[in-house]
Parts: sequence; C-alpha cells; structure tokens
Amino acid sequence: MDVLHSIALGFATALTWQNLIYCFIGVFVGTVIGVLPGLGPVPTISLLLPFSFTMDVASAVILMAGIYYGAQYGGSITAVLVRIPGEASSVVTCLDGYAMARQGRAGAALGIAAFGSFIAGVLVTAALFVVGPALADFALAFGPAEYTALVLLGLLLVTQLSSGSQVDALLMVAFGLLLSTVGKDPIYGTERFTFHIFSLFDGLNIALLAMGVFGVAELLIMAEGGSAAVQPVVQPKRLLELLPNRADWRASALPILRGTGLGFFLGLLPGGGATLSSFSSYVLERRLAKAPERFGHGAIEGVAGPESANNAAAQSAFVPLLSLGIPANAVMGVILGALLIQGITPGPTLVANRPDIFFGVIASMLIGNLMLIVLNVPLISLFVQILRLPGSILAPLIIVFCVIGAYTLSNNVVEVIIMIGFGIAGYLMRKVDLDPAPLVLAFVLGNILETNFRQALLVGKGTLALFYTRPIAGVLIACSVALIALQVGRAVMRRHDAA
Amino acid sequence: MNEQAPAAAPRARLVAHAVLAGIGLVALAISLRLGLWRQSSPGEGLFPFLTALAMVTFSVAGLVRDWLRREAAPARAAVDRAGLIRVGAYLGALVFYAVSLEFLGFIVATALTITFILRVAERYPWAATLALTAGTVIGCQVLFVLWLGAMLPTGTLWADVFQ
Repeated sequence: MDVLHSIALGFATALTWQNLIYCFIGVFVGTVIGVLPGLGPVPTISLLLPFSFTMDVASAVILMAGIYYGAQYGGSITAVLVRIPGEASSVVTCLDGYAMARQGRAGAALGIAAFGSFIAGVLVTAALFVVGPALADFALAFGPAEYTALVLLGLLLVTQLSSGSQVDALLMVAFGLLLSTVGKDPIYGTERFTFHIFSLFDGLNIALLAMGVFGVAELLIMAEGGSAAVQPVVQPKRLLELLPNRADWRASALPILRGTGLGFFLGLLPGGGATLSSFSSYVLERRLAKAPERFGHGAIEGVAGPESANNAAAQSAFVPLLSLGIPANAVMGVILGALLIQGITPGPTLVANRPDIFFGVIASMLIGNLMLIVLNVPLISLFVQILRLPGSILAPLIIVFCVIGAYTLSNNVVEVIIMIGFGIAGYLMRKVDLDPAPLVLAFVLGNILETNFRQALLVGKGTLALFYTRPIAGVLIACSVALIALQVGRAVMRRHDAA
Repeated sequence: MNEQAPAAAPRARLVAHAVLAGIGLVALAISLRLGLWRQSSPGEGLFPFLTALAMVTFSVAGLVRDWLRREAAPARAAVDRAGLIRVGAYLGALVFYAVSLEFLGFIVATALTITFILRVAERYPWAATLALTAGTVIGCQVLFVLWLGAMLPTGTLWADVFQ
C-alpha cells in the first residue's frame, strides 16, 4: 500500500464523528489523570476494557491511545506548577519546569511543553505513516544484553543531571536500584526485602516514591520556611505574555527536534518508553548546552526536549504493538488485551488485513495532539492561577492530593504511610544535599535492568559473553566505559589544576 | 558535576552517609541469604547484592570525602526552631490524616486535617479556615468521588455508630 493511500485511509477512519468524539474524550481524560498522581493511564485504560468490547476496534484503540499520550502532557502540568510529577515520564520536568515557575515563567514552561509535545506528535505521526512497519523490525535486534547495556549507559548519564556531586549521585542511583528490588523476584517470585509487610509483596509503587520525595518533601521544605519563604511568584496575566517568547522558541527548537528523534527511537524499543526517553533527552540537552550549569535552575531546554521525547515515545510505542504484537510497556499490554478481546491479533498481517486500524490509530494521534493544544493552551492562564495561591493554602491542597492519590492506588492506608516515609526521607535528603532525582529515575529503570541482566546471564550460560559478542551491546558498553574514563580524567585534571 | 564540598552541615552529611552505608550492609547480608546463584542461573540475591555493594562503596567514598573536607565546609545557619516546629506540625497532620482516613472517613478526616493546618500551623482566622476547609472538602468530593469515581472511605466509626 503506498503512503498516500495509507494517509487517506487513516484520516478517513479517524475523521468520523464517532472517532473524533472518542479521541477528544481520550485526550481530555488522559490530561486529567496525568495531572493526578496515583491515577495513571494503566488503571484507567484497564477500567475501559469491559466497555471496549461493545465499541468498534479502531474507536477503542483511538480512545485508549488518547488517554495514554494525553496523560504524558497532564503529568507535566503538576510537575511544573507544584513539583509533583503526575507521571513517571514527568519527573525530569520537575527539575527545570518548577524552577521556571518559581521565576514567574510557568506559562512559558507549560506552553513549550504543550507545543513541543504537539510538534513531536506531528513529526512522529508523519514518520509512522512512512516507515512505521519497517522500523518494528529494528526493534527486534534488541535483546537482553542490549537492554542491559542501554539502561546502564542511561544510569551513568543520569548522574550527569544531578545537582550534587558525582559520588552522591551514584549513591542515589544505587539506592534507587536497591529499592526497585523490593517485592517479588521477577523470575522466581521469591519475596525480597518485604519484612512480611503485605503491602510490599508487589513492590514499591513509583507513584508513592515520586509523590513522597518530591511532593511531600517539597511541602515540608515549604513548611519549614513558613509563609514568608514561599510567596506566590508574580506571573504575567495575559495569555500572550504567559506563552513562550521568541527567545524561548529559539532556545527550544533544536531540543524539540532532538527530543522527538530520541523519543521516537526509544519508544520503538520494548521497555524503552516515555520515561527513558524523557530523561535521556534531558541528559542529552544538558551535555550539548553551552551553559549546562543553567540546568536545574530554569533552563527551558530542560522542559522542551523531555516533553517532546515523552510524547514521541508514547506514540511510537504503538508500532511494535500493532505491527509485531509486542507491547512496549504496560499501557500497550492493556491495549493488546483490548484488541484480543475483539478478536484482532496484532502482528505483521494487521497492516495488510486491517489497515483501517493501523493507519486510523496513527491519523488519530495527529488529531489528538491538535486537540491537546486547543484544550490546554487556553487553560494555561487558569493553571498558572494555582501559583498565585499562598504557600499556606497550597500546602493543605498538596496534602490532600498526595494522600488521596496514594490511597486510591489500592485503597490501602499502609501505602499512604509508605509515601509519608519517602517524604521524610526526601526532606532529609534535601537537607544534606543529596539529590533525590537520580534515585527516582534509577528506581524506574531498576526492574528493566535486573530482568534483562539476568536473562543475558542465562543466555550466556552464566558468563558475560553476550555483552561483548553482540555488536550493539558492545558499542553501548564501550560508550559507558568511555563516559567513566572521561569523568575520571576530568576529576584528575581538576585536582591537578587546583594543586 | 563537581566534587566540591557541599553546603550542608558536615556532621549531618556524615550521619547520612553512615546511615546509607548501614542500609547497604543490611541489604548485602539479606542478599547473601537469598542466594547469588541457583544451580546454573543467577539467583534472587545477585542483583540486590550488586546494587547494595555499590551503595556501600559510594557511601563510604562520600563519608571519607566529607570527613577529609569537614574543616573546609562553610558554617551553616543556626537551626530555625520555629521552622522545625512547623515541619513537625505538618508531619503530625499528615500522619493523623493517613491513620484516621479509614476510621473517620474522607470528609471528616480531611476537614480536621485542613482545619488544624490552617488554624494552628498557619494561624488563619476561624472564618477563613472554615471557608477554605469547606471549599476544599466539597471540591475534592466532586473531583475524586463524583467525577472520577474513586472509592474513598466513608468511615468505619460512622458505620458502627449508625448501625
């Protein structure tokens, strides 16, 4: 099927009144649940599974896809405004987005996140029409050794984005990886570090960790400083003044393009996903910046790149699902369930047998991204009003938000207590200049790293052979070694200069 | 990225690194008990062992670095007693909210928690406190329960009282 025919078929499917309404509902609900920590796209889409049985297949997937990429943007709203990431992929947006908000630039941060996501969505949609099915084959080249090497490199790069020392960042990464092992062993199912606490049998929830070390900890820092410490930052009133200006666009253009490319590629990889894409983009932008010390203090590139990357990844994740039947992450797994319920088996024949589903979903993403812009940009001035609230009023709202968010994960008070525990830990970490961001990011990647590492050892019959006999893994390991050597060399040079 | 002496009190950082090293050592011991290798495949304890080992290594490195640089660390501002009391008040409110949520129910627990924070911790007048509390409770009820359909507790106390 040629490209033009595919595009025509895709839009013919997506532009029916029924699918337009489903698309709108999807992005709206997705934005709302993205804002609320604890309520993620996975449980929301899971709740829709029984209803999807009565819907047309394409409509069901369009609705669920809208929820997924809508949630990516929603997660960034609270990340910018109150430093609580609504989704794991918005954790890095907390770093510079919140700093921009404190400088009176919340509108610019939210605006560039919205526009960056839209641009990424348009570019990825165009790419998917042209090369989508062929790209899925490349994803098959990634096995356990490649994933292990990729995640290891990613974790080394994570230490680059810490605001503190390298040693402390590595310590936080190690701690985050250790926390990710709490719960059942992914292969044998043995309990690890649960101390017979029932709530820990399924492991720690990323929402509890993120809400604790960012939300609750920030709340305690605000409380310590008192009302005088957190005066509402004066924000522009008019929408045009709120939005990104020419300088912002000049600074964000290349990060948006790079983030789109990175997110598109990483989203294709099973296990890659929006989270890995967003922090990879952040690290890349920081490495390329002329003044990397600005990052963490309101660098707009630190919002533009990651937000574009996470939206690009959310959309390209549909390629391995639809063309290979391989779900790239938990959300795709649930959507796969919805397709199977309908008697549709995704795979290489889907493009040929049901092109309306494949290209209809891709076309709907373009429409959905347009809806996100139309829905959210006018609301930026409303969102920014939240920052006018004094800290003494914002604080109780954050408390209710976090407690209800934690409670609704599994209607269990123990999880709220766990979140408070993380909050105390996050507060103490801030007091001793230990940056919690690497800990949270390492926690998110820990399970992927462990599962793939053990599989690679199994396949290699207990040796590390797979890591140096497979070319992609070898290259990634070499990059990690080079990075370590570079850091050690720089430290030695600095000490030499100081002496 | 740098290795300059951070600004936090040296003793606090030494304690923090020591605590993290301790957590790492406990995790090492538990990992060894879980087993690093099972017949011909990696055991449940291998990955936690490696990460705990890394944690202990970097904690000790940080400890040594901060010990050697303790004289150079800048003097920290005096402890803000009022600030710590406020932190304690907020923490107490959080814990009360969590513990009482199922017993008192969402509406009563939320109302009491916010009233405490606004009136006691932030010293708002009664009128503003009650107005803000009512607004928050009603807003959350509409958002979480009516709109999103979240199942929030209604309170086992009231179920017993009105049985």
